[in-house]
Amino acid sequence: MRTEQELARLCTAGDREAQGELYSLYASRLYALCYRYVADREEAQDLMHDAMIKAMDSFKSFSFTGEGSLYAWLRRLTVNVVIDRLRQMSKLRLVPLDQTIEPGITDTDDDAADNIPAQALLDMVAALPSVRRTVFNMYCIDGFSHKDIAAAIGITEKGSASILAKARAQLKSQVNDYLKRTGR
Amino acid sequence: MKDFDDIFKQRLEGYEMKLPDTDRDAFLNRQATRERFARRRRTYLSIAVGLPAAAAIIMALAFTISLLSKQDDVTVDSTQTPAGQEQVIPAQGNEGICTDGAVEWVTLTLDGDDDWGKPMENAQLSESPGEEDVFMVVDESPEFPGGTSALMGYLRDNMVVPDSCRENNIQGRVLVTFIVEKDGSITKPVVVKSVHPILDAEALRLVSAMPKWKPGRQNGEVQRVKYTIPVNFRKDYYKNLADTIIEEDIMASTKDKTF
Repeated sequence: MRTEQELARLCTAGDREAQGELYSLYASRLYALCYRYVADREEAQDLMHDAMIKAMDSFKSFSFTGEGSLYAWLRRLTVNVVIDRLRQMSKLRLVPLDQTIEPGITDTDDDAADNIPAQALLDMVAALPSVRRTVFNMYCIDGFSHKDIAAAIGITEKGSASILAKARAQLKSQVNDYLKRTGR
Repeated sequence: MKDFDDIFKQRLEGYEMKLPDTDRDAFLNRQATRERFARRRRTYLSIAVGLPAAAAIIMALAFTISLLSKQDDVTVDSTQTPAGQEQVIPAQGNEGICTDGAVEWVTLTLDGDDDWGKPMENAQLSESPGEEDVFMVVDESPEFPGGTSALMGYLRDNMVVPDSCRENNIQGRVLVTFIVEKDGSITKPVVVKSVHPILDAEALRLVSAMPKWKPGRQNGEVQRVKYTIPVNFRKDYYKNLADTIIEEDIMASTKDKTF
């Protein structure tokens, strides 16, 4: 196996084999990442391709800082591609009314929640309205700050925090529902 | 709160989803096509810029020479000798051809007027890499699923316009042009007749969010087709605010920002 730097260099040079390796290493993870944001398989696949292709052109801005830094870099780039697309489609503006949540959520049993399969959690995230989904993904999973989020999707930091709170509340009620359904 | 987030973070951060088996090749082909086009574009661009420049220089030179020596015929003959070397227009990947102006000029003058158009045409074509021709008219037009009346219904039912438009009597007909791709997806929506920025933006959103169309066909083959639809904004359609709201927390937090 090649080092991450070498892989990046060869990809930019148009080495088909290296590009194939890059794909094999990261495609399915980046695909899941895109899906987490757009909740649509086809769209996610398309975005993943776009992101990987963009990566081919921008590897020169990648600097190796240790094992795994290539994925970290790819991941950030992918999130940016996703956000651009969401903004373009103005998906970040509307939320259907029926998806707003009722207050009065009971606390979740975190230990029980630990056993929920990842796919079920992913479905819950996918079911969030797109703005909440975006903020939750960026903040809680991909490690962006409220400041980053505010700049990326054009809201204020306070707005980002309040949307996050709503996203959490909605997820919590979904987790509770799930636990109730599965009898745990 | 941290614990709750961690449930999701730990499980979803590196989560992998299975892709179709064909996807890897599809991706690699796409990238290969892109690289090929990028190369070609660079080449043609340099020709498009280089040829006229070289021509101008050489014509000036030739003119000077013809002034200096009255023996025009001899001069012409000497330049025509390399005529046998046909077409110096490069194959793909052959870059930097314009560095030598003299070589260019020989090609240019000997190939005659017809070739003027060639590199220019190609340069224009390659401006949109990876794309094929777009048809304006085809045997079988693309169609919104369910036909035109379904399309009008879709537009009317999904239209979301702020209250201010109703109050200020903002209405009209926005024309949007877009391309129906071979797979029926919609790309490149553009407003060709504008009414008001709010309505234009909403028309673009509506068009971009349309379900996949039935693609157009020419001689039985699916093709990319350019298509224009009117989006009618009428005050009596502006009733759908009850079904969809503009998320209040966003509105509240965007006081000075617009997007």
